[in-house]
Amino acid sequence: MKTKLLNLWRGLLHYLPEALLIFFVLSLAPAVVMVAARLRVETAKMWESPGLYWHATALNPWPAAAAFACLVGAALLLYLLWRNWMVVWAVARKMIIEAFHRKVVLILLVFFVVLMLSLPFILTTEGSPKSQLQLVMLYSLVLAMVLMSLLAIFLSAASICSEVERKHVHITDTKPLQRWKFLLGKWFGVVVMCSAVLFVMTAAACALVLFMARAPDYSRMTLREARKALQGQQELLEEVLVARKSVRAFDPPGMQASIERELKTIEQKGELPDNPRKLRALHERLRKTFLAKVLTVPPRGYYEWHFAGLTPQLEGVLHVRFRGYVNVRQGRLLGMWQVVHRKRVTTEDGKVHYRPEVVLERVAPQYGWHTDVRREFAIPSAFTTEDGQVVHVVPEDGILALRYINLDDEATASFDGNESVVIMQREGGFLANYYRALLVLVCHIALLAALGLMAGSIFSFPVASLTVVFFVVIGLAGAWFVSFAEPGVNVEYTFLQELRYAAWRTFSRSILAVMPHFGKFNPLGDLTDGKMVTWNMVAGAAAMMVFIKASAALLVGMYFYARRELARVIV
Amino acid sequence: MPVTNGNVLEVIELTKTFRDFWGRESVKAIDGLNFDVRRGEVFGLLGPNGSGKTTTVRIVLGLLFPSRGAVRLFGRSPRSVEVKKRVGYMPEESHLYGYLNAEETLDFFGRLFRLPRRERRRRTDALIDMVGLRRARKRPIGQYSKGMARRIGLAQSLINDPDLLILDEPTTGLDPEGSREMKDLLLTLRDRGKTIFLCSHLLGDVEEICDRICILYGGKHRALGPVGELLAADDVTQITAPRLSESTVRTVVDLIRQTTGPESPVQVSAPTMPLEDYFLHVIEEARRERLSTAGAERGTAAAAFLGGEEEEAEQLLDELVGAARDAEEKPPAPAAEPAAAIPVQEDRALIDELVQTGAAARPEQAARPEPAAATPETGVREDVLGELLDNAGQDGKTDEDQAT
Repeated sequence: MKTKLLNLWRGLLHYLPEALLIFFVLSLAPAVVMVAARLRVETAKMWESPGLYWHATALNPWPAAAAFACLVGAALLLYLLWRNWMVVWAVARKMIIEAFHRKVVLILLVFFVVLMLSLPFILTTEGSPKSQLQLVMLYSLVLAMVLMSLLAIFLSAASICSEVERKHVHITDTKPLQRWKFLLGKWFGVVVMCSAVLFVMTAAACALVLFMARAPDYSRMTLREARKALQGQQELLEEVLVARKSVRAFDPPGMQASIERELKTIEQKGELPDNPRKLRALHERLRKTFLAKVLTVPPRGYYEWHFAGLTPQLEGVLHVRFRGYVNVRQGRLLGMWQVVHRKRVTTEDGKVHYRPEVVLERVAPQYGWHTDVRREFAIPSAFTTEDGQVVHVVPEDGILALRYINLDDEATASFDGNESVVIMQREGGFLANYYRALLVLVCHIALLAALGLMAGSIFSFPVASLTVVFFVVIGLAGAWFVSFAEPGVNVEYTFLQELRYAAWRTFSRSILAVMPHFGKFNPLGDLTDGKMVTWNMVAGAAAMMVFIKASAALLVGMYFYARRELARVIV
Repeated sequence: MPVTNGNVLEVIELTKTFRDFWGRESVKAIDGLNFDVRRGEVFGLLGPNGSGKTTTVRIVLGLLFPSRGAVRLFGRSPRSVEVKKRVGYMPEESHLYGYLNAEETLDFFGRLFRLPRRERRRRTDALIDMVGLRRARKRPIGQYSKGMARRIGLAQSLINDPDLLILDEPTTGLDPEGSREMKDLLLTLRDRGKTIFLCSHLLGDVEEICDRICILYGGKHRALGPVGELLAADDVTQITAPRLSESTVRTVVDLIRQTTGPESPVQVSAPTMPLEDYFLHVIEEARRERLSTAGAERGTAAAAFLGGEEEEAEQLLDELVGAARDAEEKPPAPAAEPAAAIPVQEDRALIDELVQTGAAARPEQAARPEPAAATPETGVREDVLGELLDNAGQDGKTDEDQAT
């Protein structure tokens, strides 16, 4: 019986690499379709008004650069794979068989399934279905990601090392297979396998999440329970299982001018610091002071935030997020939010100007809010006026103003200048968003596999695995790694200390520039928050992690591996 | 592809030094080695343990890089891919992937040569048949015995129908039968125009199949040349005959002394293993010159307390001697074959014939069986091999070739 099962397993294993490859390609196929559609839209825009398009690109060139890098990189990669498909795939499929033979993948899969299924029971939250769902989704995705990352980096490092140590290379290297192709094949194998397994895992996680978010059985509830359940369900659909874009308010008018004026005054006094670190700090302090002054709403006063880039919609809601304070102890924010449109008015003498007009009063359901925590309320995307007219909250030009009126007679309200006020608007469905987040995770895996290969092709096993652990730690603690030596702004440093600090900064920044940085392209926070994981983020992640960092790591690995003596000296 | 002056492999002033952690030269594994391997010959690299054989092979394969000097394979660097397409290598131990079975292994290496799928399948089947692993083809190689692993190692080295076959200790780990098959196969391959470069310390094998040898000691070559030439002693004539009776021997000796003088040294003995003597002689000479070797020094015989080995040996000797019909003339070497079983023939006619013609067989002609005579009883499937090798020109085509 055991032998039969073993034989069956071996038989399956023989076809597994091809199956995984097909699954991997199919998993990437939607991305190709979506990117192609997106490219068509962009091209159409460019044809329509090349000048404007060029101007917009020049203002923020990074997304375009990332997209370009992705296209070039993908084309190059596909060309390399196509040219050397037979040898690369031979090495890759052997790598996959090896991984499954070591049973490590199976053990990780079982481990994942058990943990994921027990997550809804382990995680206890305040009880609202929204936070419960968010936690389960986040933790199962993090779990899948961590397992696959570890697998990718250790498998790739161990594979190269064991090939050399067990002298397999003595045979493979005497075949007509350039060493760089050997590494490319290994990398491709790890990426295909880990990504395919990741897709399987995350599909399971997605199924679990959708199962948890299914509509409850209202028929067995009391009216009160049903209403609560319905509200919770709505919250899930509007705030978690959705892809929303977030639009930040413009900086208050006159901020830059004010800061520059202040700086000039300080300069005239001769107190402008010559140290760039202190200058930056001064700039930041001036900005904060200005914002604090402007974003303070006196009793019976009001303040208006302006937003651009919203889409007029008939259905759904807009979510407004803010964080406010009052200058009274234990006080509450007491105020009213209004939606304001700019109405185009033509005067008698033919001049055009814009007049603010309140289109929706009392948009929030309540007047009072707790201070100090982030609050959120919803505005319907469209409403019907008394005379039966349907009005879009977001006007045609996509520019919307939101006004807060302080109704308190004594307390002054103020708003957090850094986060200010954010409007979230539904932009796409949950599944597409989930898929884009997965694409970013695949980029992480590709980078880690390349780093593992680099370590494995330079060092022998113990050193390579330590290096790999180092990479992972840096990736996880990257931001902290730079900032923990950040000196206070007001601390006076001697020249030597300044020098030391600058050296550390340069060193840590340059390490971070080549290392994985899990915090930088992390789509999981946005995904569970119901925020849009944009194509720009996917393109940025792919360009930065796969086509720049991973290829650099692979090239370094290839360089050293090709110049390495693969045999031990026996004398 | 350019092949300079018919040499498949040229080793020119090859030196390999190993450095310690601080980059100081610590060991000279190979020191100014020079030899070449000609097209279509079997070349043997011999030497005691640690003499630099394996290091030389690894440099020839491009796994190690020379410190000084150069290695040219087919007139090119051994690291060139074009060269690797024409080389097959069988390492001393099986360094194959234990989790792949025989078919998958050959398929994998076939892919590395970019053989199309049908061709891979055909060669895989043929090679598995050839090395006699048909029944074990679906078992992972990790479960193979050492001999089976050697066989699959040989099969993988032939997947590309190589022009040059490099073998590290080809018969180690094989049973006598397998060893015989291997040697026959190598001779067959040689006859079909392949060049074979092997290193070994099994002298019998080397003597049997090699055309030329190079003996290494301490990383330097001590002897280089055709086996026959190296082993020939020009001032001595050896006559090989079926076992002769004592009276016949006396007659022959008298006959010889009639022409060479009464004091001339005439030795009558059973044949020994001449290469072994020669090999040991070379190594002994090297030791006398106090050449250093990084390898193992000469070991001592097994300790006497170990399981009555002495007694047993003596017993065996007694048996051998007792069984001999002519017990009074003991063979000088105890390693003599149990030739006593061969019946003594009527020698007179033979002696007459010898005296009349005066012909003396050259030692190497007597010692080396003709390869053609060796092939008929091989365990190697000739037809399969023929199929593999005959259409080499057409088989050598790869995907790319066909595409172009």
